Formats: sequence, structure tokens, C-alpha cells
Amino acid sequence: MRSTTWKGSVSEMKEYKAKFTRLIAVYGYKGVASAVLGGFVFATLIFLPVFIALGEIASLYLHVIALMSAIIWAMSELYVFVFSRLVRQALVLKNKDSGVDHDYLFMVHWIALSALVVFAGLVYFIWLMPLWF
Amino acid sequence: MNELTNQYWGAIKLLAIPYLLFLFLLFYPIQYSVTAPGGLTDVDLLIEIDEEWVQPISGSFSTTYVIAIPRMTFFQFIVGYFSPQADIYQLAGDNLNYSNEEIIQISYLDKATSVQASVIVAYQAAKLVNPEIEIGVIEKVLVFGKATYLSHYQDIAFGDEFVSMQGDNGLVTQFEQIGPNSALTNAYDFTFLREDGTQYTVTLTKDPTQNRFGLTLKRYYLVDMEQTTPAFVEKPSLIGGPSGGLLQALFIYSKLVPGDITKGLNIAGTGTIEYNGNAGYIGGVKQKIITAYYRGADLFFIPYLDANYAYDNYVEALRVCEELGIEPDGWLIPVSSLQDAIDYLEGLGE
Repeated sequence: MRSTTWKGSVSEMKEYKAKFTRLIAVYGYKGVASAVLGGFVFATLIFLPVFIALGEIASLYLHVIALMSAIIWAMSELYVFVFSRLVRQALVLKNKDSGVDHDYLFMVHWIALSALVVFAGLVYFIWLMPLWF
Repeated sequence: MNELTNQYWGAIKLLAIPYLLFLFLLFYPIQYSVTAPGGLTDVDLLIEIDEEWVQPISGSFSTTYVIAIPRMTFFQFIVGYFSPQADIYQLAGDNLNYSNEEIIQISYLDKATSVQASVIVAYQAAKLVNPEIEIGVIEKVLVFGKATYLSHYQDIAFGDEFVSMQGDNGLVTQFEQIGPNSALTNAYDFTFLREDGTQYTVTLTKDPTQNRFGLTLKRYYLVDMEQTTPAFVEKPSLIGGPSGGLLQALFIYSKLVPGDITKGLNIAGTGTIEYNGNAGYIGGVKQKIITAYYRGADLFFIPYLDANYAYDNYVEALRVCEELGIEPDGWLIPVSSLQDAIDYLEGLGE
């Protein structure tokens, strides 16, 4: 069983590597960096006022800080989703017939970034929040 | 990047103005302040006493802080307006002239001097139980307020110590003598001492219309560390204001005397402390009650100085408890002094 799982993971890694290599081959590092930058700028422009507004609301509802933190956490997940989606869209707009599996790469990158936000949230809730509040 | 810009250019043009308007609401400060519920701070994190002298306690003492934003944004005004827990005030008096940074500086000065007052009062109370405890006190006159017309406004900082003034009849070191010794001319040399030990002299000129220098000085009693046993350390804190005085004094007292007066309870409260041990009024009663209740304090001490005064802290707190459906009996404890609070805790369980 363990061996099967390990083999499956290796196969998935290989698949990801092949698709990512194809992405770089089609768009080049510059093209991918431009799409990532575009996704970041647009997602940040959309979410910056939202995060500031949530911060200002949280400052007036500090007695329910756990709830406010959970909302900000959920919003961070949404930010990561929109960012990943915009990167995907920028790449598609660059070359519609590239043959790159955008949906697969979007899913992998989104899950990876999402996992980072989940980890950061857990560190905050378990360790930092009891320390600060 | 360009592909996304081209794709969404229509939406960008359409939403640019509402977007900038929303940013304006989020950033533009207005002359209103808001007070909202905050949190509890364990006094153990603020004051550390020489551990050889410390008595173990099973419970805890917490001061209650509220969020006070001196110049809130339009957006916070809207949120605060619809929040049943928050109170909004128009800035008035000195606070109208002070910048947000200056208001924060004053609140930190209030905090630092309230810790000193708490130590003095608690050590004096504990000395009655343990005569080996010693407390040395020094008197200082500190800058507490500055009017907009104060000359050398930027040179003089809140908390600077008044040392002397070159008056009409010689050197003045008592601040009560400034007025009688500054009648002949408009400009006088004042000497101040910074917290870092720097001494400086500035020539202050009286405002022609007010006939005043525009400086508010206040007498404080601070702990003389060399004459004080046991030693203590005040740890850094981001929370300002004097309203933790009573609970800080209670905590220090409980650490210095034998017998656990906390009885395992999480004790919260509010109230300033005066040098004679009396409690003093605080602001933001409603928000402090909400904070302590939500954070699960077992009991809450609050100043009760005048039953006939409609805005007495305890009278106001009773109204808040009724409004929020909190049962005040056994939870909301009115006290007028440190001794009142000690007596209450010592009487628990009898």
C-alpha cells in the first residue's frame, strides 16, 4: 500500500514537472513572470481595500477577534484563489492555443498557495493569537 | 500584465472613481474618536517583582483595555455608528489640537506614571503586613500638556521634567512659584530634563492674548529604585492610559503578602489609583464591561465613588449590565479604594 502511494506520488510529480516544463517552454520565464506579476497586481488591487476595511472593522470588534481573524483568514484564501485564477487567465490570454494544461497547473499552484495560507492561519490561531490577545 | 489590463480596461475605467472614493473613506481621518471593546492584559506580563519576594497566586489579575482611536476614518465612523458596542465622540478640548502621535505619547505617560503610583500604593499597603518591604518615593514635575501657542513646542516633549526657571527674583525650582515669579517680562528661561538624562534650556514667551506660557505641568510621585525593596521591573507594553492603576496595585500587593487572595479567580477590573490608595474614575465603562464579560473574567472591580452622580462608573456599569443582560451580583464589584478591593478578596469564601 505504502509502495503504491509512493509510486503514485512520484508519477504525479513527474506529470507536474512535464506540464510545468511545457509551460516554461511555451511562454518562457519572462512570459510566466509577467502573468504572475499581472495576477498579483490585479488581485492586490481588488483585495487591498477589502483587507484594510476588514482591519478597520476588526479594530472595532476586538472582543470577537477570533471571528474577525477567521473572516480575514477566509478572505486570504479567496485572495489566493483570485490570484491563481488571474495568473491562469493572463497565460491563456497570451496564447490561447498553447497546448499547456492550464487547469491542471492552476489547480496545483492554487492548492500549494492555499496550503501555505492554511499553515499561516494555524500558526496564528494556535500560537500567535493566544500570545497577543 | 498587459493582457489582463486590456481584458479589464472597461471595468477599470468604470470602477476607478468608486474605488478611489472607497479608499478615501478608508484613509481620510475625521475629527471624531471612537471607543470600542478591547481585551484583558494579565498584569503579570507588565510588572515583574524580584522573585525571591514573590508569593505564589493561583488566579490572575487583568487590566481591561479598550480600543480608542483618536481620529478615525470615515469608514470606521460608519462601522462604529452601527456598532452597539462602540461609542463615538467628537474630538474636543486639548485632544483637538494634539496629533494622534501626541495623544498616544500622553497615554503612555499616563500608563508609566500609573504603574509607579500602583507600586507606591501597593508597597505601602504590603509594608503593613511585611515591614521588610521598603518604598522610596521621589517627587517630579513633568510636562503633561502643551498649548498650540507654546513657544518651542517641538523642543519640549511630554514627560520632560521641569528643573527650574530663571524668574524675576532668581531661580525657581517649585513649579507653583512660576506664576508669581514671571510677572515683569514676557520671556523666561526654563530648564528641563529629558528621560535620557539630557538637560536643556529654552526661552519661553508668554502668549500676548492668553498671558500664559502654554505649558501644563503636573506633580508626580515616582519610585526611588535605590530606596525600594524588593526591586521590580516594568516591562514594555503597547497599551497606554492610567485606568489599569487599581488592578496593577492589587496584583503587586497580592504578590508581596502571604496568602493567596485571588482564590484561583481570574480577576479583572478598571480604575485609576491615587497616591492615597483611592480609586479614580475611568472612561469607556460600557466597552470595558463588554470586554471583561466576553473574555470570561470571574469578577470585575469598578470605581464607586458617588452614588448620586449619574456618571459614577459603578452606576453607569449597572445600566450597561442591565442593557446587556449581565447579572451584576457577585460579578460587578464596586470599590472606592485599593483597601476596599483587598477586603473584598480576603472576605471571599468566608
